[in-house]
Amino acid sequence: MNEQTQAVAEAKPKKIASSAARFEKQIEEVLGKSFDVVIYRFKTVLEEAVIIYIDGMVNKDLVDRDIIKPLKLQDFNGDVNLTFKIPFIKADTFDKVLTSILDGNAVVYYNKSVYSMDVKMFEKRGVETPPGEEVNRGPKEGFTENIGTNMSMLRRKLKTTNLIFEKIVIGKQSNTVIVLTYLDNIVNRDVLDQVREKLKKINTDAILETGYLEQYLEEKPFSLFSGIGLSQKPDVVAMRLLNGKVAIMCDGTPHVLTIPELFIETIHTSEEYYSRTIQANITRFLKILALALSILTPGVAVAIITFHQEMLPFTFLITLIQATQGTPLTEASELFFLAIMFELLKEAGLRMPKIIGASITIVGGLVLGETAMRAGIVGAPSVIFVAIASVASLAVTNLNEFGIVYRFIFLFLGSIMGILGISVGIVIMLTQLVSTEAFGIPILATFNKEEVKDSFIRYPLKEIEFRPSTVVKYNLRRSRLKNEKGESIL
Amino acid sequence: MIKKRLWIVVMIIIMLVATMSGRWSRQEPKNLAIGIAYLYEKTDEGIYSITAEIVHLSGTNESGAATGGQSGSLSIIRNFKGPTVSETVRDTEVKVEKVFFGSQNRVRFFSEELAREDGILDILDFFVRDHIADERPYLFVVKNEKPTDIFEADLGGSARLGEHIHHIASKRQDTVLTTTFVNTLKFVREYYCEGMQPVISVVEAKETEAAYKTPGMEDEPKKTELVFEGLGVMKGAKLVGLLSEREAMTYTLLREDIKGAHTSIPVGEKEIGVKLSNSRPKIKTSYENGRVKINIDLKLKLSVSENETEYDVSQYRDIKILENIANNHFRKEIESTIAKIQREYKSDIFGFGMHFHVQQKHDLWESIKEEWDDKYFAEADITVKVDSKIVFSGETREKFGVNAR
Repeated sequence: MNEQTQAVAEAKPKKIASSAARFEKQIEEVLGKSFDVVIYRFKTVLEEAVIIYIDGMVNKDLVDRDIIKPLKLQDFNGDVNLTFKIPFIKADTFDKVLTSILDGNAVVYYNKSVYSMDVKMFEKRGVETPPGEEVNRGPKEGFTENIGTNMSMLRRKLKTTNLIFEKIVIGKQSNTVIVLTYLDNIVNRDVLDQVREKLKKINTDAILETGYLEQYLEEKPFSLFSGIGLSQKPDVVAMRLLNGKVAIMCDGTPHVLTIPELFIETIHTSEEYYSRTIQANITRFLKILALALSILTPGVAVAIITFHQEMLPFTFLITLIQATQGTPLTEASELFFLAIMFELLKEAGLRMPKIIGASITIVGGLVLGETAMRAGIVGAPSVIFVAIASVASLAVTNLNEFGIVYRFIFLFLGSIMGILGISVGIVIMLTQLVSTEAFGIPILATFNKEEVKDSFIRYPLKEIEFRPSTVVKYNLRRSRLKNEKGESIL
Repeated sequence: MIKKRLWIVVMIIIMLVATMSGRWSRQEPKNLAIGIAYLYEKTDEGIYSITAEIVHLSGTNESGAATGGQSGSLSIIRNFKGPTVSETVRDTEVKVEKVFFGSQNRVRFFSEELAREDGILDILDFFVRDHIADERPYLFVVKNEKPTDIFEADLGGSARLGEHIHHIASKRQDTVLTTTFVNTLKFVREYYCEGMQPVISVVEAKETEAAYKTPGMEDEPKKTELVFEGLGVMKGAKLVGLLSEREAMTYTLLREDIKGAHTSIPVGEKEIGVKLSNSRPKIKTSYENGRVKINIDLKLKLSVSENETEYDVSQYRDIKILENIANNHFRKEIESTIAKIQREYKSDIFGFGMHFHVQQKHDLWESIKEEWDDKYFAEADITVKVDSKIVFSGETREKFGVNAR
């Protein structure tokens, strides 16, 4: 702590001035430099009153109709309880008054008391389907930047007294509202306590997004897994809360963190629970395939092509030689070049405005791929291998950083050591995965008898009767759909 | 924490160093000269001469895909010489600008002279010892006087000799009665098997009549085509004799799995065409008074594909007659072929010795195995029983046109 903050902490709470004029001056000293703060002193039949609010954050109609107008009426008798048509709370210290104003409330000074009224109304984005989490089947709504909306969306999914929203304010400059959400009867207490503890210790300027929190909370910044999940959809967050997780919402962002997140859950989507078993399992199989393809394709391709030509079918070997005969680069450098180009394109496509983004894809896909090939810079097979890996990586976007890093690791190992290198890489990868923990829970801990029913495969919902026991420590039973003999009652 | 990370890095470095030292075989495919057919000969001076067919790729077309057969020759034939096989390989290094790659080899030819006189033992040793030499290529003895003629043969639809033979040998094995395609693995297996001698495939480039004449051209160049007929009988690694295509049928019936091979059975002066399938014969051996007796029980399934005779294959009585004729026909063929091999080549290519070894006492086999081929097999009493069944008589009943008018 520096001296300044120490001084602030030790200063006595400032008292509220004792007259309307002085209160107005007191406020003006602090907020007067900003022209969006409206300070309006007016006379009532009895005493003077001051109303302060921030322009653009309150509903002016309400302020006029329910606060100012009743005060100005001729039959005003000084009883504020009857006068104000909106619920209000009294602010007893000057700091609370300021916070209340900055929060977007209207504050009224009358007769030595300050009343804070919630008349917030500001521009906000409507509820939309979050990009990246689109589903064919299932709710389409996503969280917004407004935390009140978000909490209400969650409350509508889980109408239980066990759903707890704990408010924590973080950020010296931002005073951001962070909401710690959990189901009281299911949540893993250890994780909850760890998270709460850490959150309270965060002393920083501002939290602008849950990404800040994610990075403050994670244990190893350079690990490929933070053990923290991310979603923009209330139904997904509700599902995770039901699995004993803790959710962290942050005002001003639609991204909600869920803690802890196991490895296999990163490739799960909500749709896999809404659709029927076979469909769900097909999706899961495809995703696991996509994960393997996105990580391994270029590495294995370069390993086989440059070390184990006898493994290639003769006709393919001939085609390959013909395709690469005129190219100057080695197979490994071609793949490196193309893989980097693809990451570049992806990045450019994301940052560009949508209209230009489309043309970037065309320019990238056609011009770079096709023309580089025609110009004899790269061979056609390399384009195919990188394209396979890239398409596959888009199917598992949650594992983006994992995919990219390991794609290049495997490409490197495959190009210097062949298939042997790929095996070494798999060992390294598994070692890393096995040794990673998220808030005390190993991220690969999904292979006990009950949890395996919802991991690489998904059993019929009737069979999944328990919550994952690696996360949930008590209140494990999710459903009871079988009688004592183990027969289905449905 | 840092210690742990350091430990992992050290482990990775150790792993890389330990493993990388053995992996120097990295090779860009475009720098490979892929040999797909090799002809091994020995010159009069005792020097190995290897003629290789190397895939020749004449660049790419616009889209980078394979050009197929449009742009001239698709393979080049080069000859290398050296006193040993490995020195011949060394000769390639100064004659070919790319790195020789043998793991996609398809076929190995031996001149008949080499196979008969020197045997192919030294060459086999090289195949088995060298890590890029593959065990998949088919082995052939070339009957031609000038073995390099096979490289000039007309290949029909195939682009290269190696591919041509590979396609025929790998796809046609179970429908061909008149020869057997032997790959290196099969040869080595049979070579090492006690009580069995290997065989080798035979190929010959034969002159053919030109199938068509280009108008205006007087002298159509003579064409040759590859003929796969008969079989080479080996004794150890040396060729001792060649079987004709009729004789080779005995081998395929007794040793291969045939599924629907076309053949014909003489019935009187006419013939009946059948598609033939076999099941592995039951072979019983016995040993009495220093002589070996071998009983062969062969079951065949026949499906009539052509009927020149007056027999009605829909009638039970006629079918029985035809089956009997077939039994006799195959029995005679098998008996005469085995007798010829016993008499002339004294080489147990059918593996009777292997059955003897399994069925008789081990000591007995140990005592006679040295002389098995030359004495016991050559003098064995062999009885053959063939049991053919006509299982399908075709889509019609009597001979076409018999009751039409």
